[in-house]
Amino acid sequence: MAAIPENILSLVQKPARYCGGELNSVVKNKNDVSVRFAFCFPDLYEVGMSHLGMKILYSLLNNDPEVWCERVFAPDTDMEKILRERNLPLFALESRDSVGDFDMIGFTLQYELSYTGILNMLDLAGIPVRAEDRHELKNLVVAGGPCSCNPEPIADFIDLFMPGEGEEVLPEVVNLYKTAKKEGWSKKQYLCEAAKIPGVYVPSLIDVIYNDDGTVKEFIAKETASLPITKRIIKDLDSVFYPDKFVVPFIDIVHDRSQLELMRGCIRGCRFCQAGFIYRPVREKHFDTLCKDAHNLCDSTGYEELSLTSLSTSDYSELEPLLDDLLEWTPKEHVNLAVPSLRVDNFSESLLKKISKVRKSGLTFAPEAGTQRMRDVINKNVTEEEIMATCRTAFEGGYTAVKLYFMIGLPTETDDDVRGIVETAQRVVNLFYSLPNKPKGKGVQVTCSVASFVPKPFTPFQFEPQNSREELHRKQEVMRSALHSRKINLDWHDAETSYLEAVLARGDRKIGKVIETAWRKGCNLDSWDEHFKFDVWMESFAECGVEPEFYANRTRSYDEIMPWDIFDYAVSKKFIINENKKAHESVTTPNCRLKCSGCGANCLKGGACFE
Amino acid sequence: MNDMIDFIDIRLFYTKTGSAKYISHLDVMRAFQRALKRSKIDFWYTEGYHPHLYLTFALPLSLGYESVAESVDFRLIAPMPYEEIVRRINAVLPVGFKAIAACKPKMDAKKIRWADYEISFSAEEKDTEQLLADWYRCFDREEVPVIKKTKSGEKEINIRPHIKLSKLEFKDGRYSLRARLASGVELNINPDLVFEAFKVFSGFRPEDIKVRRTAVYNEKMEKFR
Repeated sequence: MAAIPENILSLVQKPARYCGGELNSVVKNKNDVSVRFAFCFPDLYEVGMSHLGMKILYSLLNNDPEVWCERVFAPDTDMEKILRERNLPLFALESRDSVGDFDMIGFTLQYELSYTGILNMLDLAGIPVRAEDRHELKNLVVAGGPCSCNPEPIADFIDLFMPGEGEEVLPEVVNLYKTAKKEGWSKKQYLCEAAKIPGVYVPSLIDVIYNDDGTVKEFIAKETASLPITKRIIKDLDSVFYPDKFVVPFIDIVHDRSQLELMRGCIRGCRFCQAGFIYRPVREKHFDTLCKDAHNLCDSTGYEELSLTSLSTSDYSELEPLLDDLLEWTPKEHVNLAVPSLRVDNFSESLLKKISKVRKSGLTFAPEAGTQRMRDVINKNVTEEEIMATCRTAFEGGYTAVKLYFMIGLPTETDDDVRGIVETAQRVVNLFYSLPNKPKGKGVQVTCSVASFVPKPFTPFQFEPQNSREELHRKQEVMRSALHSRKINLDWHDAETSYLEAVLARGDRKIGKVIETAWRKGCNLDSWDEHFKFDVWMESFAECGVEPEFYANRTRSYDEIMPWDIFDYAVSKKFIINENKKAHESVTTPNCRLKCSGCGANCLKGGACFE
Repeated sequence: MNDMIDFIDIRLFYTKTGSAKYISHLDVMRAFQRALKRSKIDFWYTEGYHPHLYLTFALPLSLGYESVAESVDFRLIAPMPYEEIVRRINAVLPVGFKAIAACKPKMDAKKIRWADYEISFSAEEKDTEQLLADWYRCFDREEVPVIKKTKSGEKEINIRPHIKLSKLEFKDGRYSLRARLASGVELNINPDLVFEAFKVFSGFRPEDIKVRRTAVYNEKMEKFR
């Protein structure tokens, strides 16, 4: 019997978020499987269903006849209210059974502001939020995804983390669970065995000792655990599992299309970018694999759009031949191609021609900073000439809207750098009007989306303080007063959200009780402006006696032990420190393809990244 | 696409039942676009700037209702037996949707005037005798006024000439009836409007209302084909 009476679906907004039955969703008989796995995304359906990692792991787990993986998303507030009022549990979409019925409950950690969502989902399922209050093997709570590179803020709530890529380690963890269940192991026995699997982190088997000043003194590995724990990667992307089917949602979601993953990692080494460091080494999929994957996906989903995804799509070495192949059949089969994450410096004219055949919307570029000095500091190896040349190509190709991404609050930033953002946008506007062959009859629109910089673990800026909120507000004002054109739209993320993100990103285990307190006071879905309660968060820090500035606004020394130093993410600390020093000297580092800078990541691959 | 007549019009009848009733009309359109694409049948695409698979639905169904009398029109660029179309589309439709027949369209969807519904509901806190009495007093009136929301705003209409209700049965804790309601482009009386009218009259709205559309007709009460 499903836990959820169907008629509650008629009481909520967008019931198709909760009703399951989407094309390619997997329904099995629960009596035929030995492990039931609830794949939980701690945000709304529209966000979670857009996530490629979930699609990969959902298909991968369901390929095992002994496992049934179902999907669970955070309910929106109207559904949550109904569940709580009627004492109904959070449920999985495929069976509509309570999440409490599941053997393993897996969370994907995509962004720090989703942490309260994890607690809320566990609570809605009737499961104690703290790992120490869950005594049975059943309802084992596991987690993976990018934020597990520093999982310490949520170590109190999760039984086991899998830092790195999941396609190999997750089945290993699930297979061990099959054995444990068959042989009647205790939870403790399972965790001790799981800790022996490379890349598995069991927080209850590692103690953290702190200095009087609040920094980490040392880590103590207990029982079967050992340190450091090395993140897992997939060595060969051509032989690893890639789904030939995606679940096709009924409702419109954020990324509603077939996604083709071209590569993992990024050759660029922008110093602020966590993804650029934690996904190293760079590995590409072979052209033939991609052509096959693309066709399979389009056939099985009926999607009218195919996007080429990676951190920097124009760096994929076989992009032009791949586009040639895709452009051969996609128009005939009425599939549009979308090519996001293009860099401004290698956006060739022939590439633009190919893309403009299939897609005519605005173009987005990310110069990230407004002056050359600042771009050198962050190692965004893009020059003003390249930005202008790219915009010129775009305008001459008929585009009239350009979106530029920038950051404020970067290390060493001055007000000149901040004003440089608006000045760069102004030069793009001027460029448009200077072109004799500009698109006729239309004005130009330059949108600058300005984020506040958040220092992240495993990047060369992990030692850097975040600007205070007052300073960020002041810099936003500097930009506003430098703005004189109505052709430029300035928009920015609010500094409060970035501040909390900075605390959670580089937090330690002392943050756990703050997260729990904030959640108990009603914080949930914090990444949504309409739900974000900054004051409640600040109250919670105060109640727990934890100073957020300690995590966000303090300069950390090179020899400080970081909470995430339990992990070896393959990029050496020596390299990170050296990159930080070069940043302060405004010295750039060439991209990986031009010259190997010896970050150390290729040791996971067993050889050089590029021959 | 040079000749003038280069497509074949097809009308597909299908059912929408079970949890598929929670899929909104807009989402159904998208689901059909994608399902038809997967069937690999040679459909006709529009020829504008953004070509898309030509699809048109006769009478939108409200969110939460089931139906065994839905229809959608599309165009083929090569002939195919009707049974083959039904078979191939059934192979690609999501759970809860089932194609039942395909044919050449015989009526214009603009000619639709009536639709039949099977309706059931519960009213636990209401005395059965009282509810039945209220129901008949409400709908036996000469005029049954209710506020109808339209694109141009709200206006009061008398729905009495536009609804035909069967006897209200009570069995095993649920009430049920059949309703024939004005439908189509000119005037569309949604089953919910009947309950709205009842609420205006009695101050009471039943719970757990279940609706299933069973047939669609033109003015002469010929089934929509």
